[in-house]
Amino acid sequence: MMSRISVVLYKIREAYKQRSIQLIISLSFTMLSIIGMAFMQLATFSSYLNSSRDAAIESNKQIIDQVSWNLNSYIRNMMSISDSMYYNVIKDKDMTSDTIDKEMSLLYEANKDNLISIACISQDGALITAAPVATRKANVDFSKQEWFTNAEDRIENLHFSTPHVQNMFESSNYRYYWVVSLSRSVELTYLGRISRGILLVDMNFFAIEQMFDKVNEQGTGYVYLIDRTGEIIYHPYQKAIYSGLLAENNIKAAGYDDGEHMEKYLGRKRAITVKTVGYTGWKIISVVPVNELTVNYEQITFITGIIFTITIMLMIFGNMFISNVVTDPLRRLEESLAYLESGSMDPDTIYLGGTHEIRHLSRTIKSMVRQMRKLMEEMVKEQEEKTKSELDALQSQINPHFLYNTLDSVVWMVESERYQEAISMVTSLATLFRISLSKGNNIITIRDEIKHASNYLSIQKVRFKNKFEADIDIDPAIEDCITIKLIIQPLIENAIYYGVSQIGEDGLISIKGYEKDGDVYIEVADNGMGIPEETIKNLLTHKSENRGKGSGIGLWNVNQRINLYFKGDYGLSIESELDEGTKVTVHLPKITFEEYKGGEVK
Amino acid sequence: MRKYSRTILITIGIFLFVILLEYLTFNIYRKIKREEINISIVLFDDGKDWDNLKAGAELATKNSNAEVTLIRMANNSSSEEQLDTIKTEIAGGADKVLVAAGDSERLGELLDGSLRDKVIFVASGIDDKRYVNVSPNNYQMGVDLGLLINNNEKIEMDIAVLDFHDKKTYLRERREGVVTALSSTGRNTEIWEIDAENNIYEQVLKYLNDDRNIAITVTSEEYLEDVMRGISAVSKEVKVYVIGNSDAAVYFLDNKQLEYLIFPDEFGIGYAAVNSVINPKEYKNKNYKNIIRYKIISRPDMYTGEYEKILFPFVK
Repeated sequence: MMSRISVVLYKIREAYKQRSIQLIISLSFTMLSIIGMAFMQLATFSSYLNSSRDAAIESNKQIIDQVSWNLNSYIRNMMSISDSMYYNVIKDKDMTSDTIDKEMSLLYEANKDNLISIACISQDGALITAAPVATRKANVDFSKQEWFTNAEDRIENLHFSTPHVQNMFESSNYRYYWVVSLSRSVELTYLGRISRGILLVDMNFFAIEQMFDKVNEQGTGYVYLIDRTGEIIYHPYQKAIYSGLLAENNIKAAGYDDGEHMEKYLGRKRAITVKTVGYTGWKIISVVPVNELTVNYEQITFITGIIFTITIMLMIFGNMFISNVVTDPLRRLEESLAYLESGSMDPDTIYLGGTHEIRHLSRTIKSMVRQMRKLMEEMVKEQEEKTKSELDALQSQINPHFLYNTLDSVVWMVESERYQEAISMVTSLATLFRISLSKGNNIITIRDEIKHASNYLSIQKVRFKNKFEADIDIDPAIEDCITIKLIIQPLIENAIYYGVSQIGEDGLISIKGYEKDGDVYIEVADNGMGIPEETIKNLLTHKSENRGKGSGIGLWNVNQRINLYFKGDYGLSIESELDEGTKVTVHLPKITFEEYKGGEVK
Repeated sequence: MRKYSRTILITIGIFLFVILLEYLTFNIYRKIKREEINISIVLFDDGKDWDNLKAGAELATKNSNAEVTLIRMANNSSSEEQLDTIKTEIAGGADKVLVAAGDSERLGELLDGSLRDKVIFVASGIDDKRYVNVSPNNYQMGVDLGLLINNNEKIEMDIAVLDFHDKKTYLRERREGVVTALSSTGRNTEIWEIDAENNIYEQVLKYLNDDRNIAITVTSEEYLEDVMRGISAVSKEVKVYVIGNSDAAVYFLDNKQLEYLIFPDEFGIGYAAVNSVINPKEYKNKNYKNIIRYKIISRPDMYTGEYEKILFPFVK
């Protein structure tokens, strides 16, 4: 797993290294766009949520106000029943002679939808009268019940109990009633004497439950009711809470002031609205989980998500297009410059387009390339001229001593009346010089070069009084091929001066020309003393000193000329064995004179 | 150009995929949210109204898209008949069937693999890990009642355990628990066999036809009213201990005709069972075994805050 991650990271790093301007622009703009969009969407979404939340809280507040008003009305109604019973009936009656049953029954009948019972109890807990008429439960002590003790403790107040099951009268058909008891201390008159009693109005809790059930059917969240200590009076999940299946934050809620609050309970954020009910100190609590505050929360989230995705997509394409417009001329310029890298110096291949700055850059590069090209052409020309002059200089290195000796031999022949030989020698010398000149051409046919060599041999044979023999064997197939002029003659010169001249009468110079593997080879061999191995090594690499013999055009000279002209592997090779002889081989490309005249030799 | 076209196509493809994914997620989410869960509760008609269980089940469906249907079968329905009813309900579109089985062991055997996941045993438990079982420990309930009697009554007091030859597993377990706890003390424990098909009142009177004081244990509230009628008819002191949660049982406790009432929390069973269908994750996370319990209630305690809300859950 780690190695896979490493590979992915490596690929990302490598891709990052290869990043283009377009990629950088696209990515940067896209990232900035996404961040900007995200902020904008978040702000819009958050604003929408807040306004929805405020609207929902406001709506809940109105609901709570309505419930509070209804509950207040209900409680006021109960209080007015209690007040009517006390001030209009009990206070006017002497309980010794009068009964209050009729009035109590009338009052009960008028309000029986909301009432379970009305009862008047004496201070010692005896039931004086009750409506509807019912049998008191045996062994139930009223004076120990909470509604009784509360009224006794604070006789000046009206007391509202929390909901409880009425435990006063015998029930039929196993029916039990949940009631909220409104109790108060009353003055009972017996024969003009005042004694204390308790007036109890048991309100049917079902009425309160119905009131809240209706509220809980509408809107979001739920509404519950607690007393001042936080004990639950009504809760839509009341039974589940009592059974320990659910929990409510009612004790903490008892401490909340009226108004809106936010709380986190059991990991859920909830908006709480509190309203205290007058007279009782009860609190109506509205609870709305924050995620339910917004209507169609999921739909809005989905639409926002879609808009976000589409916007991002459009932005990415926009960024790709813009970055392409900006960077495409640069990319094309860069591609055109790649031609320069490959060696082309054609300024017309350089891209010219795009914005002003890029066009200016292109023009500058074009101008630079033109200058470079001009400079290079000048350099090449200079180099060629230099090579030519060097070649000419090499060719012109014919030893004047040779000319002097030849002419001296001619004089000697004329004086000794050997006119025919003198004519032949002068003719050979003339031919020698004519070929040497060759109308200024450096390149001649092998036929001419061999003819030149043959003339030279004729002159030298006379000069050396036929001390050596010469044998020329040239393959006619190569006679029309080209060679640089005056390359065979120096080799013959060396063969004479350092080879056969030193061995007496049996000297032999052999010249052989042939074709092999598509190239031309011309060998000049002698049976002279041979050349030591260490000398051979230096002959082609170092300019050898003129030892005062021959034409002065050494092997290095010939080799250099062939290399300069034909390049490549062409040139001389030397094989020699002491006391056996030496063989110098000229290696040339096979190019006919016709081909040569048809095009440049490369 | 081809390279750019490919990149653009891939990018469009990715975005279309993302949009499609968002759309599908949203729709699936909405579908799940909207999809109605039909829950059938198969109960037997043993004289009580099962209101507590129904109220618990209905409360659990509040703010959800679940619908609860109550089916009451004849009290003496066999397991095979209950199985037929379960099959009918599932064929009728019920996603889950909550069943208060008569003979839960037998019904557990009858249910095949395809039905097993769709049935939840309520009230009457089953000792089989393959089923979701939302029920109090009925045997332990009986043991607790026996221990309560042992603590409350002198060793000389004879104890009668009424045996109505119940086929219902949970009633049998309760009775076995009581007998086990009572027998452990060596006190005289009698099993009064009562034929529920005949006059229970007269059979009870017959058993009570002597002078000795006795405590009676009733683990089947189905016949409680007839038994109490018989007990009321004799003049001697008879102490009664009951397991049940019917209105009649509460009434008798309120009228001091019972010493103690062990009150199984049927509301919690209904709530937890439905919740196991609607919120299976929450059901697994909460340890409902600690919540689904029973209360041991005496007359003086019944109007206290803790018990009052359990005994009298419905505002009338």
